[in-house]
Amino acid sequence: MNWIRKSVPAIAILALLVFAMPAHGQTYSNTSQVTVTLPISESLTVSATPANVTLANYSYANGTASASSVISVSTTGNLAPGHNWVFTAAWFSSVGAALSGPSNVPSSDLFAAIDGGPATACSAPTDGNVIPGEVSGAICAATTGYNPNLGSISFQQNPAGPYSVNDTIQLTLAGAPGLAAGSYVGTLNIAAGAF
Amino acid sequence: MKHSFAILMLILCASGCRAQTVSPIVAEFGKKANGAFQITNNTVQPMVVSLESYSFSLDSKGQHFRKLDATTHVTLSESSARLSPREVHEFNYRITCDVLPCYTTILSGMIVGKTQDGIQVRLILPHSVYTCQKKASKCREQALKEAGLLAKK
Repeated sequence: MNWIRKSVPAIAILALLVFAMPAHGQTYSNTSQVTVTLPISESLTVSATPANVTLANYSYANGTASASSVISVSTTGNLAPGHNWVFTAAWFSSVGAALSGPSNVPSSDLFAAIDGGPATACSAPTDGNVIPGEVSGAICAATTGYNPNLGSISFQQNPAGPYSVNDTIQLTLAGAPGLAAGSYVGTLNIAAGAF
Repeated sequence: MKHSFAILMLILCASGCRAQTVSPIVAEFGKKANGAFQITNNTVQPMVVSLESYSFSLDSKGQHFRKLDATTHVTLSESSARLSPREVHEFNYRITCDVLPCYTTILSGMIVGKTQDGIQVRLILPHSVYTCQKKASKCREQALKEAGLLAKK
């Protein structure tokens, strides 16, 4: 009986080894697949600095004022292929009253130097109606670059992928003598669009 | 030169740059357009955004905008909103057209500078919606094709 008692641990170890032997027929499940998508929407950003400018040192006799500080305009975007063009445009809200105060100052008396170019009157017409609300005859357009007649300050055909353009606008006043003292306020609209 | 301009913009933007982003730029639908677009206030100051809707047509010269057609019905979730600093705000819209196809642009405008004496800047970004009789996915492509404006991909 003593030998049986002594052999119990050995039998237990043997049993463990037998049952721990690897299975002969392993099975695998079906492979499940998870589809991963990354939708990245197109985007377009426009920024302008500073947000307002002042035309100082008005000359009553000459109808001129000092040039404003330079407005830096940045247009950036992430565009999918298939766009015909992307552009940035600037215009005043009214032809006859670009600045309003004691009297009205027409947009033709306000001049814009785009990207350091010559200052030209903000009186360009719209050709292609590139942006809704654009006021024909009150547009500050670049005099150089692609199709300046389109009334934009920057323009690129067939854009795709990352897009980044920097422009500058500097405004001056000319040909507006005899304005009464007071505050004159106007709005310069800056729009970016991709079509 | 480009790097120095970017650095200058960064410095200026930290103090008072005004920027807004629209996404997506274009949307296509079948008969009914139930969609949304996002406007991002990239600044550290609150901004008010106001929306306007326009109809447009296409020809070989491009888009031609006009006041919203009487046959186009646009319902916006909000016609204006005040965006907190860095907020991404979603505007929802429903457009139904009595006549198809119809093309609509929703313009988001933002006055970014207040001035007592001088010129303030208003930023504008459009979101264009193409609504067609049949397939939504080919709506814009078909419109551009008919206008002779299909861009190279």
